[in-house]
Amino acid sequence: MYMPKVRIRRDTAVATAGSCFAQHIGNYLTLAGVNVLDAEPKPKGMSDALARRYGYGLYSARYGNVYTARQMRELLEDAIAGQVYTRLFLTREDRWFDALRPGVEPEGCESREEAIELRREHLMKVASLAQMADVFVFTLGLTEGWIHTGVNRTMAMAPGVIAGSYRKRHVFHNFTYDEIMADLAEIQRLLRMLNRNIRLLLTVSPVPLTATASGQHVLAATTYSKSVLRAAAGDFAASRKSVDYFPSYELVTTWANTTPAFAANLRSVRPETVERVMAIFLTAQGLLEPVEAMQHEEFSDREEAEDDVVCEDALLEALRK
Amino acid sequence: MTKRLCVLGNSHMAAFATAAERDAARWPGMALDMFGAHGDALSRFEVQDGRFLSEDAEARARLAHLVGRDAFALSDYDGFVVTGLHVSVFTFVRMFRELSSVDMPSVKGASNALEDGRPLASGAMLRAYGAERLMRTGGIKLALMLRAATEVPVFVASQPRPSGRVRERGGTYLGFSQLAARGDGGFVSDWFDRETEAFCASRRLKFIPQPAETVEEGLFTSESFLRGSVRLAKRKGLAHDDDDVLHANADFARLMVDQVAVSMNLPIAA
Repeated sequence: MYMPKVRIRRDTAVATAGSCFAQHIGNYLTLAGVNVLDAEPKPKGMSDALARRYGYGLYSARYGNVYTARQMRELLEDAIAGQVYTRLFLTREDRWFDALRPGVEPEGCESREEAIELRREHLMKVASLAQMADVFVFTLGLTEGWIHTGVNRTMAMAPGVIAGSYRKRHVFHNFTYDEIMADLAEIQRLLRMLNRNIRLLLTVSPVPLTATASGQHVLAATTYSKSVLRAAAGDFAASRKSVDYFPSYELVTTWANTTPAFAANLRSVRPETVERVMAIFLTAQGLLEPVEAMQHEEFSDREEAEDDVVCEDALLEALRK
Repeated sequence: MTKRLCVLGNSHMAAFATAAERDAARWPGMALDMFGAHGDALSRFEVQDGRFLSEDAEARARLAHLVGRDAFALSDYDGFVVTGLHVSVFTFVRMFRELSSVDMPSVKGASNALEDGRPLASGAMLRAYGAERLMRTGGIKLALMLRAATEVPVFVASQPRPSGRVRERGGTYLGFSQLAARGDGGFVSDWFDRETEAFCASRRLKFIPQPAETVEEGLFTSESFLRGSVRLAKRKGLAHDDDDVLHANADFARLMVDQVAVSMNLPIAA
């Protein structure tokens, strides 16, 4: 099913980023003993629950979910340039939110100055992360995004979900195959600027869209989005020696599944599905015994566990209520 | 009518015991009883059917040895004062050793925070993290247990800040030296008082801060309020060693009890 082109060993320094499904990849690599980097580790005395609330430990830095290739590209551009856009801070009830990662500070900042300095520090950490990583794992999640035309930056989510409100300068954009290919090429170039030997591992998140601004039904919008992402990721990996593609999307969504892959909300991937997919990945990488050898109890224990990845677009569901 | 209050705590309770005896006439409307022991003995106590007691024989024995009883009825008291038990500026010194705020005097911005090895954190996160740390202290756990079991006032008395002599020591006290040297002592001190007050108020507890006149350079207690501190021991007046840097004396406790009296609208004799 998967023949790794980009090899990961336990001493490989791996950075993770992307859509919320990427959190599973980081978690399982960590469990397998792989050196998953954390450029912004949680404070030593902080509980895991509080740390997750503030975006620690979800990915290799506190960037929150990076849903589109364009966001990833722009994050790297800004990290290299040390560029902070003062116009990209949104307000809600006198609190300031970083429009590019509003979820990592759920109560926002007391001042724009505080929010700006936190972003400045984050960008330094992202740059150092890329310099340290041997493999950068990036999970593509969406083709749809909202662009702030004033500074030409793609926001983490639609205005108003966490903070801010719609303005004329916020423009919806559904990224095309060509745009995503160009963004992936740029991501690779920027990563290599920071780290000549870095390799890239792409996946596509199987998590369907919760909402769409495309005007299509969300089913059609999801199929379009995932099809484009799958095609772009696969083609990009096929054309580059140092880029790999792991078919997590296919493994979750295949018609060959004998049990439901998704939870009752038809959105969250069931823990046992994630475990099966990641067992295939880890086995292929030589980081785990074959999946058949695993204790059945391990699956059973997880059966009742809720999906604990952090997906901000799930907020849309809450907003509807 | 005289109000009866029970002071509960660890070794820091000794200063209150001395003040309660020495300065009893200062608070004509208040009588103070003590209930405490060293270390974490009180963590093994709970409230059962309106009584504060322990099923741990060793904990009971330690209390009985030090204060002559090993349980009491909550209804015997008009208020409780929790002292020591790590409700201390230490909690926040540790936090600000690993993290910094843009509002700290020494912090000029992200670069300087990272150079110092103390990444920036938002005020909201620092408050949440600080609250989590406070929640883990024996003092807050005890105060919340009492709060849940009774409607009378429950006071949480700030543990005294350490002596400025800790600057000569490393290890546990390194954070104090570093913060003081950077000029952040006042910031951390204010943060502790303000956030602990807010934390307690939101849980119907009353925080008693360390009196300003006992504090020097934000993080430390003036020597005049440390000198002559006594041990928590059955034998009264047993002094701490000269190198003790943690325990306050009865003059400190007197000022703390004054705040309790004011809060309960009880008279303070001149």
